[in-house]
Amino acid sequence: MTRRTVERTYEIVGVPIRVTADDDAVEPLLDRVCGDLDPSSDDPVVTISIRSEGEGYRVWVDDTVRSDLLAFDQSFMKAMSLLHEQTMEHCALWAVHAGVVSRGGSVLAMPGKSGTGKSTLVAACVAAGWGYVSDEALAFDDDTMEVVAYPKPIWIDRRATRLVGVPQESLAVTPSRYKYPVTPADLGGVVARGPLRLRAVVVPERTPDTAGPELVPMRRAELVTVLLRHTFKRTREPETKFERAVAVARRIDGYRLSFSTTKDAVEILDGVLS
Amino acid sequence: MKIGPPARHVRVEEVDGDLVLFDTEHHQVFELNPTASDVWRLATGEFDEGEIVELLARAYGVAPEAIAADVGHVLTEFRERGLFEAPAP
Repeated sequence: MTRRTVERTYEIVGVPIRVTADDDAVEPLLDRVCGDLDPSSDDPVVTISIRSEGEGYRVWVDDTVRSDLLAFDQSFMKAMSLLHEQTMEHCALWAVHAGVVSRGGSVLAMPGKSGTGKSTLVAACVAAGWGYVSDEALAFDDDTMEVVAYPKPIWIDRRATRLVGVPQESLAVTPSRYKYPVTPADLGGVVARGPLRLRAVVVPERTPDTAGPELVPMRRAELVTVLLRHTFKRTREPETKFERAVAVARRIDGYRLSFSTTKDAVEILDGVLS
Repeated sequence: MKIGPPARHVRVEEVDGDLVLFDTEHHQVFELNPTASDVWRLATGEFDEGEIVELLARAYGVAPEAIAADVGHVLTEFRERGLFEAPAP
């Protein structure tokens, strides 16, 4: 059997990165998972490769092997993880771990730990008509507050896909049976394009016992901490980042959102940017 | 014993009246609530704990006993996190 080499170069938040594989079975997965990323004709700053080896696959970053011998699906997931790692490594913008949506060019970012329902909330917002910016990172220029979309798919479990109305046939192409890559198109939505400006940060917290959603303004001092806690590469130039976080916190609004159902949360978020 | 002054490795910014401290040695951020911000402002090395309690009680219009425990707790936090200059040997 002849295997064709697959090669794609993307520009992700200003970083050109190439993904290659010596097995064309990668192609449908790559097109599914990275289909909303912008193609790039620039020379890549780094290349991530999935290379077959005997009965398995290894993942490389340039000339450095970065995985054990893995099964095919695992190697693809590892490659996607490294794609994100390298994007953040080379990103010149300020990047905060957050789900990000927009409306009318105004951006709302939702930083939060895994398990807080952030991804499901982002998916529900997109299904409700918000533009999709990212489920991974708020990448922005803190001088202009301009946000750059990082539209990798939203990874949610099967139950959440039903909750937000993803057609189940869309989930056929997946490297994982635990979390599924969901695109804005699956949700009837689109990737946000055009000038995007950061306006607000909302920290979501799912609290099953809450009667209804509650949106509470956050003190700006607290917002500084939130921004820094979720910043990628936060230990590099930490004093500068502190100064910049203070400056950003003075220019945007922050809230804490407690919610028990995603539907209620989306309705209350509608009021944040109005 | 006088409280403070702030350690040299602590940066302070005021945001909407609240203070945010940044420990440049340990890369930690502390957001202070309004009361803790007031305690920090008085921790200059000029006052002891009792004087800080008195000054704040007067400013807030409450009895010193009403805030003494809270002030003590805040000062303990500041000390334990190494936010004050070490006392001279």
